[in-house]
Amino acid sequence: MSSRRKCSLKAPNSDVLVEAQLIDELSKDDLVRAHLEWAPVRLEALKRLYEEKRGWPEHWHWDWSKKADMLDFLAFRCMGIEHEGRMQGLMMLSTVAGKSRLAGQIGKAVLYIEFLETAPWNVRDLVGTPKFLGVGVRLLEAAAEFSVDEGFGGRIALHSLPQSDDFYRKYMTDLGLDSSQSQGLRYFEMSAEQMRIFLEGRKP
Amino acid sequence: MKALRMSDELFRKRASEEDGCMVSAIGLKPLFGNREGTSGHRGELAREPVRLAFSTLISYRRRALRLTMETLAEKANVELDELLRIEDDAEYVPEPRTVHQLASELKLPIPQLLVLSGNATSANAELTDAAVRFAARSRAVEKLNRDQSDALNEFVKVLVEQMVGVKKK
Repeated sequence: MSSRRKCSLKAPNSDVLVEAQLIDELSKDDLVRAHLEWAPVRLEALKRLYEEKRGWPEHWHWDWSKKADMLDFLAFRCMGIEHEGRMQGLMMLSTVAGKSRLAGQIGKAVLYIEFLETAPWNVRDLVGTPKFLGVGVRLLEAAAEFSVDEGFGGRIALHSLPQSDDFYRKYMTDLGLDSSQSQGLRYFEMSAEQMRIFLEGRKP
Repeated sequence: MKALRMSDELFRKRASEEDGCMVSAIGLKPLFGNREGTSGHRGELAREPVRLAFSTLISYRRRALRLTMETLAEKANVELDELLRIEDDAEYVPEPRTVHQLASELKLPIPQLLVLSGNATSANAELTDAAVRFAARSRAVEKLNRDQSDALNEFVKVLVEQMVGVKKK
């Protein structure tokens, strides 16, 4: 059953924290609604980027309403952060245990993030001034909690789009280009220790 | 969920670090479900979950019968190493003899188990669908929770119903 808890987001030009809500289990309708809200904003941003002869984000074509059918399976769960009824970020998790590729942890269960995206109005490159900062951080935090709760020991894994490599490299281990696929994406893992550092800001 | 959250001060720092980043991630090897930009044949998509269903079925059924791996290996006269591989390695195809012995010890229908284990093929869409759904629902966590017990029971029911159907024919 879906539940909500408070989680704050950061205002872009100050230290003010704004109260939002983390929803730990979204419905298919939630994803469709998020897509309907995000698509026009993204489209406007793409038009502007085109006119300015700037590159488009690599995930410009994503459509969360098309990912909604994944929720027919218990193997997937989608979380989101909402503020005043608008979805600020989405994350699709696979609850099918992946296997760690990190040295010393090889074979241990790892929580795999299938998709993660922040709302277009929270991305500086798309809108100039983002509405909120820290949506991606909050989603990673929620993934870490879920990983612990579900017995994955806090371990998280994902494939990053190249535009996001630098963000994940701050908190996770970059295991390089994934030779098992041809899309040229890098594979990242957060170990249990890295999870604690991510959440506590220091080595335990 | 347990309270595993960062302090406000640390969050402010992390949020500032995120500023200017494009945060996105994409899954590459979906076992199930629709994926934008991909169009696989149902049979191709189904194969891996079907074998995964076999691993999971053996593991859940063993646990539902309250058997340890060692006990089941001994009772079924199967090497413990092989049982470990069956439950843990979705690419491993066990010998038909092993499947027979496990099926009889776990009281599961042999023909369906041979198909799930990769030893036989079947054009039975119902079995494939049931296996895919079972695999999709069941490998979530280590503990056998209520959802998983339900999934196991539903899947065993399909297997048994199929067995009854075969006998009637």
